[in-house]
Amino acid sequence: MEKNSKKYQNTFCITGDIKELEKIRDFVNYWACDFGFNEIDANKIVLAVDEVCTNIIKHALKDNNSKIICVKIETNKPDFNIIISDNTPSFDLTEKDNINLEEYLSKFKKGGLGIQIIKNVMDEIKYFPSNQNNQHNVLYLRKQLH
Amino acid sequence: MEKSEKFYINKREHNDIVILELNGYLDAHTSPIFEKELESIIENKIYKIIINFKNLDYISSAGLGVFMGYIENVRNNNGDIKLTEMNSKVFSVFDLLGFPALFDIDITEIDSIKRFENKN
Repeated sequence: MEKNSKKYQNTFCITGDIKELEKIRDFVNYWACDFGFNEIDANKIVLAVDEVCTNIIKHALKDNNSKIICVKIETNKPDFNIIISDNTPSFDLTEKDNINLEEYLSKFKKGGLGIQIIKNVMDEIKYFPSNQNNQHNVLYLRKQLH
Repeated sequence: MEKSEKFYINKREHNDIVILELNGYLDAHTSPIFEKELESIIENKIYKIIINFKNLDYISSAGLGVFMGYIENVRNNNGDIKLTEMNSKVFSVFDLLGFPALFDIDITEIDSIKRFENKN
């Protein structure tokens, strides 16, 4: 991502095309590194956002390219906040139970890892489903810079 | 072999071991390419597999899920999928979910080859 051109752009939107995930990753990585996260922590934040957007595209949009997902970055040191909004049917990932990783891995299960990644990486996750006043679902993620 | 601008695989052989070198990024978009390749190797009854990550820049849960989908079958056939030469970013993703307890993750490809050879 060109740093100069994106410097003041703190919101990035993609269509429901899985090929677009790379653009969201570049956007979040730019801001996470700019905020002060090291390469590894920035990558984990990028991963968490990737998992959220992948979930929306695969389960809610079902590759319907006409729908839009927007990712907004708001920073207030030491908090790095990511607000992800979409207009798909609501799905609250915070209601999903944590998986017992040891048991999960021992049974060679393959699904559900994305939600666990989001929970493991972020310090706070809040979900606001769409309602009569707001047509968009909003997922709020917070990661603190140590 | 199927190739994407964003992800491709170089396949090599060392005796009875197949080595897959992953290049680019492995996410929900590109993981079907990797899944197809692994499936075709296992269909050919090759169960000693090394995945070399030295040119892989990024992995998401879609990529991790591919390993989980095949490891049981491979081990049931007296083989294994060994992972090697990960950069620290990619390793941290495996580590996040406790994968090092389930997979051999080696520093070099030679280490992974030796593990297979020492088992014979």
